[in-house]
Amino acid sequence: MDTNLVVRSQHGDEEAFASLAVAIGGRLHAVAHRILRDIELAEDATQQALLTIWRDLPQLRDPARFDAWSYRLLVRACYAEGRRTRVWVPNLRLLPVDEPAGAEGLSAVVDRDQLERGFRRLSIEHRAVVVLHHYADLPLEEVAEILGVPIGTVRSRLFHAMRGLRAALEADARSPLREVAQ
Amino acid sequence: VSADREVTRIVRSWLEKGVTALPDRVLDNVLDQVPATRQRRPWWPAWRLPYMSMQIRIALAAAALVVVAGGAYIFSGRNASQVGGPSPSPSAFPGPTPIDTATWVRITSLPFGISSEIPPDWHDTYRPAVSVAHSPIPWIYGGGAPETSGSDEFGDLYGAQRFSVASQPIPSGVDQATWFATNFGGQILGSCGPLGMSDFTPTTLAGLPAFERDALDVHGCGYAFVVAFDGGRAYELSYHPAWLFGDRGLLAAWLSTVRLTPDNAVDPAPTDTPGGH
Repeated sequence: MDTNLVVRSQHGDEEAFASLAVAIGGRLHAVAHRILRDIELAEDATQQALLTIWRDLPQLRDPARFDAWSYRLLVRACYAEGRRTRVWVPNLRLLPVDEPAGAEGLSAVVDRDQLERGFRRLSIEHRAVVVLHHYADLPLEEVAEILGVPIGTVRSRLFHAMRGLRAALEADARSPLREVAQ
Repeated sequence: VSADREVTRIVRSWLEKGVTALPDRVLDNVLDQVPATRQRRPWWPAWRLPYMSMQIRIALAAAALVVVAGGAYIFSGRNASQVGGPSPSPSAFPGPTPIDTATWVRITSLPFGISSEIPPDWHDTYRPAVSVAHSPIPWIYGGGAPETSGSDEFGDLYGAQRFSVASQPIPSGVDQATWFATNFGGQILGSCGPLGMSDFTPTTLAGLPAFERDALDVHGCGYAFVVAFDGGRAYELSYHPAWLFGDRGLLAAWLSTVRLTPDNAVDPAPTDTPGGH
């Protein structure tokens, strides 16, 4: 990120912020869309995050940390958008099937719809960890900093999220899906 | 392990697919609003310390120590002068200064079944709740969610002091200790937890037995909580001052106005997902 743009934006330079928004808008939107799985919600979250970035930029003490800081604001906007829909995420626990599926079985039966459904079952908090780590390629330490939670919490969320996704994939291979509500 | 790697590969590949560009109209919306959106300037200096010699650093550190020590001396002296003073209050939040609530405004916080009075110049929707969690999953502070997303907040004009309220139904078979463990047993705001039921002291709220946790003086926390149970619901009310210590008189005055109306609470519908109940 061009630190100069960040600093100029911090001082109220609207043209610099326009350039900054163009530079980061796609990245933020891509992450928001992957967390929320809804194009309109992602657009709203990105728009809100960009405006919050503009508003709060003067409070960013270290411009070199802009990327992580912007992700933090984006994830907060995603939390808000995700909850504003008032669509209650079912609290499901996917039970492992009796026999583990081998890697070959998994790769042979990848069903994007099933993966999509498995991902949507995750809470927004769990999705954020998966997306920041596996899509944005951020190390877990940085994910923890962005989300403002201990790294142990990030590891736990990632573990449970990936276990849920694996169960979704395995269930796809062994229909019918066994779901148990907690 | 190989299956886990395969899942990771599949998930990564799946995540790669999808939008990567922000539509121009969204960007235009943002840039249209920028001129009218005032930037928030920090109250602390945003600059970094310039280069200083070691002698200057030591001198500044010594001066800071003197200031801190002086403040601590004054504060401890004030506390010592209160020994043997007022008789103990039934609440652990004694108000050093009586506050007249005659002009306060009563507001009802839905969907939580709580009403209370706040100062007339406060925001009654400083930060309204945007989610209500089903119990027994961790509630306000659980899951790393924005800390106040599950509660209604009322705050003064500057956000320097805030009251927060929330409630949730308790499933049958879940006792109070279990509820405490679920909601306070993990990581909670700052250094406020984890907490067990024994960390709370008995008090009363709206005439009901309640539990309170005064962490206003706890560095890294600075909050106060009150938990009460009524009508099959758990209620939590908290006070969040922006500075250490806060105003216990204000908190006590607010708590004295609280009414719990569990019958008026509106909970989200249970999930109707196949397999759910």
